[in-house]
Amino acid sequence: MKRRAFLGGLAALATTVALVGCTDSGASPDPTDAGPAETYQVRVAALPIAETGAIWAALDAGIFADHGIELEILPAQGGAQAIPALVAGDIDFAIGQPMGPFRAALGGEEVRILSNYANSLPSGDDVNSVVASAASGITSWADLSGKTVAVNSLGAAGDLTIRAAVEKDGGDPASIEFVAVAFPDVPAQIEAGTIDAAWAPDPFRGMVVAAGGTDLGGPYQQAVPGLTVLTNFTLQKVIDEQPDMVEAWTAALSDALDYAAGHEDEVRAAIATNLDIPEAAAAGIVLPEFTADLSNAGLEDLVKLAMKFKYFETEPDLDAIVVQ
Amino acid sequence: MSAPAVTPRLLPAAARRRLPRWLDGLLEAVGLPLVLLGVWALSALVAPNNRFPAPWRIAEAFVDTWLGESFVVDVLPSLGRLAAGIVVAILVGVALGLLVGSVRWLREYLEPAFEFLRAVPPPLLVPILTLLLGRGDETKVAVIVAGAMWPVLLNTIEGVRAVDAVQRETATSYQLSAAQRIRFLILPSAAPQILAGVRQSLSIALILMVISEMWLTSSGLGNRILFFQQNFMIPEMWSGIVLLGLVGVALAVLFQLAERWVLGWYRGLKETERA
Amino acid sequence: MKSTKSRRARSALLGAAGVLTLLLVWQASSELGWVNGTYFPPPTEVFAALGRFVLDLNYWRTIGNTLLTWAIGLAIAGVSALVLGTVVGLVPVLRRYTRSTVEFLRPIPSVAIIPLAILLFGLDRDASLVIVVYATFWQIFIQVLYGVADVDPVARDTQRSFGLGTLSRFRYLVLPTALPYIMTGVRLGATVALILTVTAELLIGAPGIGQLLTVRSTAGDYAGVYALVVTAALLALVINLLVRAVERRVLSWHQSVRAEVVL
Repeated sequence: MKRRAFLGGLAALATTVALVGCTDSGASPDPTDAGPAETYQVRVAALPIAETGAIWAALDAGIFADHGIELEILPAQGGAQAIPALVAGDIDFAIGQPMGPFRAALGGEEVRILSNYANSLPSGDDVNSVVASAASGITSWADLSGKTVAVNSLGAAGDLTIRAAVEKDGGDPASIEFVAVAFPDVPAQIEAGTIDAAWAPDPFRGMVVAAGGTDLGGPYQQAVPGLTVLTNFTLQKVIDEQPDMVEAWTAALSDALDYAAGHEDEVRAAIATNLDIPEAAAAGIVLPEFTADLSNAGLEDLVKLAMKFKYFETEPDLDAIVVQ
Repeated sequence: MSAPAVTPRLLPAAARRRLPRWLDGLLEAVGLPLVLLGVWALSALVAPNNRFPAPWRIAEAFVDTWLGESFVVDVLPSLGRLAAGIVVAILVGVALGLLVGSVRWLREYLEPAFEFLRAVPPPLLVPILTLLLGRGDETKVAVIVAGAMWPVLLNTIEGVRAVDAVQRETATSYQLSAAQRIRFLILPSAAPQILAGVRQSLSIALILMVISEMWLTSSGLGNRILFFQQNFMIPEMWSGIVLLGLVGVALAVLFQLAERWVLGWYRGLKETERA
Repeated sequence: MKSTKSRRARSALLGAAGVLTLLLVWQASSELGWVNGTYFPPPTEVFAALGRFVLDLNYWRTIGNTLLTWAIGLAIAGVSALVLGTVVGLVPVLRRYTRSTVEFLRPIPSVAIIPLAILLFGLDRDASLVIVVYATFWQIFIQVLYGVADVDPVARDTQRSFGLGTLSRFRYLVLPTALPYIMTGVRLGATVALILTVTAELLIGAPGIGQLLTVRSTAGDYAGVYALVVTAALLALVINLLVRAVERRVLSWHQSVRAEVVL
C-alpha cells in the first residue's frame, strides 16, 4: 500500500516533467506566398511588460514572418540580465533601457544600439510617474528632498531623471534616499509607509492613486521630455557575423513599431492576452510612442545628465555605441 | 611487525616532518588557492577577458571599493546584522528544536507546516517582512533568521530525538527536572548534531544577508555587490564576491573555535557524569 | 502498543492539521486587517487563483520545468558531491589542502554569481542549473566529507588486519557509516535545490514557477503570485515526503546490517 503510493507519487511527478516536452503552438509564421528567400531564427530578450505589446501584436499580424524572421521572445528580468545573455550568445537582440548599453560599453563590452523602440510622452499623462502616499505630504518635486523614493533599479534612468526633476523644482536631490523596490511591491510599501514615494508604471501607480495617493507626473517630462524608454540593442559581434539577419531584424522591428503605432487596439489586445490581465486593465495602460527613430530619443541629454550627477566616471561615446 | 618492516615506513615520515608545523599549516591553507590564483592570472595574461578580469585588477577594485568609507557605511553594518541574525537563528532554532523534538505530537503537528514555510523563496520574504516590520535593521535580521534557523531547528529536533533511550530512562528514574535533563542529558547528547546544523546555517545566513539587502535599502555589503552586478562594474563585482568568500572563511574559523570550546565543555561534562 | 499503520495515519492527520492552522492564521490576518488583503490576498482568494491555474496546461508545464531543473540540478550536485566528497574525505592530504578553498567558495551566495551564470549559459535553464548546483553541491559535499571521515577506528583496524581490499573496505566500512550523513545531505540538498531553482527562475527568468511568478507579479495579479508560492511550498512538501521515504528505505537496510555487525 505504501509502495503503491510511493510509485504513484513518482509517476505523477514524472508526468508533469514529461509535459515540459510538449511545445507551445506559439506564433508560427504563416507559410504565406511571397516570403523572402532567407529565414532567420531570431532570439530577442524583452521584459514581460506592457511595452512589449508592440512586438506581440506585430508577431500576431505576421510582420516578422514577412521579413523572414522566426521570432522567439525570451522574458528577461531586465537589462542587467540581457547583456550577459547577449555576450553568452544566447540571444541575438535585446529590448531594454538605454543606460544598460552605456554601462556595458564603459565596462568594455561592444554593445551597439541599433534603433529606438519606444519613447515616453512629452506631455500629458506619461508612461510612468512618481507617486506618493497621502501621509507623506509630498505634493511637488521639491518635496521629495530628504525622503525615501523607490525605483525598480538603482543607477538607471528612473532615479537619474527624478534627481533632475527635484533640482529643477528647487529641491535637494542629494538628500533623497533611493531604494530598489520591484514595481508590483510599490502599492503595498507605500500604504505601509515604508517608502514615501515611488516611481511606477501602470497598473501600480493607479493603485496608489486609488488608495488616496498623489501623482507627481512623469520625471522624464521634467528632465528630458519624450526620453526613450526602451531601445533595441545588440553586440558588434552579431553585426559583424550576421549582417543580413541584423538588417532583416532592424527592418522588421521598424515595421512592427509602425504597425503598433497605428493599431493601438491590437496592441492592447495582445497585452491582455500575453500578460493575462483583464481587457479593462489593458485599456487603462498609457502606451508609449512606438518608434524605431532615435532622433528624438534624447540620448545625448541623458548622457549629459548622467555625467552631471556623476553616474558614470567617463563619458560613454555615443558615436561608437549608436549604430548610424 | 618486525623491525625491518617498520623502519622504512618511518623514514619517509621523518623526512616529511622536516618542515616546521606552522609552515605546514600555512602551506595547507594557501597552497591550493595560490595555484588557482596563478592559473587565473595566467589565463588573464594569455586570453584577457572582460568578465573575468585579472587578479590584480580585482585586487585594485577591492582596495578602492571596500577599504574606504564603504567599510564603515556598508561592510560593518552588514556584518553586524549577519552576526545578530546568526545568534538569533541559533537561539530560536535550539529553543524551538528542544521543545518540538521532545514532544512527539508537536513535532508531527508542526513538521509539515515547517517544510511548507521553509519553501517560500527568500526574495519574496523581503517585501512581506518589510510590510510587517518596517525598513530597519530588524527586518534584515528577521530575513536572515527566517532562513538560517531551519538547519539549526531541524538538526536539533533530530538530535533530541536520538538521545539514548537508556540515558533517558536513567534520567527519569533519578527524577531529574526538565531543566537538569536538558542541561546534562539532552544538550550534550545532541550537541554534535546541533553543531552540524549551526555550521550549515552560517552559509545560509550569508546568502540571506545579501538577499535582505537587495530591496528597500540603500546601503550594505550585499546591496553594493548587487549594484555593481546590475551596472556592469565587473571588477568591483568580483571584489565583492572575494569579500564574501573571505567573510565565509572567517565564519568557518570562528565556528571551528566555538565548536572546539562547546564540544570540549560538554565532552568533559559527559565524562564526569559517567564516572 | 499502537500499530504502525494507525500511528502513521495519526501522524499524517496531525501534520495536515498543522498546515491547516497555518492557513487559518493567514486567513485571520487578512480578515482582521493585520495585512492589506489587496496586496496580500487571503487563502480563499489564493486557492481560487490556484484552482484557475490547475485548469491551465501551461501551469503544469511550468511545474514540470521547475521539477526538471530541480532534478537535474540535484543529480549533478549529488553525484559530484558524492564522488568528490568520498575521494577528498578518504585521502587526508587532499582534505587538508582543499580545506581553505572549500571554506572560501562554500558560502559565496549563488545570487552573487548570477551574472556569471548568465554569461556562461544565457537566460535558459542552464543558467539556473549553475545556481542550483553550486549551492546544493556544497550542502551534500560537506555531509559526505563528514560521513566518510567518521569511520569507527576499531572497525577500521579490524578490517585492515583482515587485509580486506579497498573496494570491500569501502562497501562494508565506509559506506555504512557514511550513509546516514549522505542521506541527511540528500534530504537537505533536495529542499535547498528546490528553493534555489525557484529563486533562480525569479531572478534570471528561466522557465519555471519563479518566472511565471514574476509575470503574474508584473501583471498585478497578487492572488496568482501567492498561488504560485503555495505551489512551490506544496512541491517542497511532496519532495520532502518522497526523500524521507527513500531515506527510510535505504537506512532501514543499513541499520539492520549494522545491528548484525555490532552483535
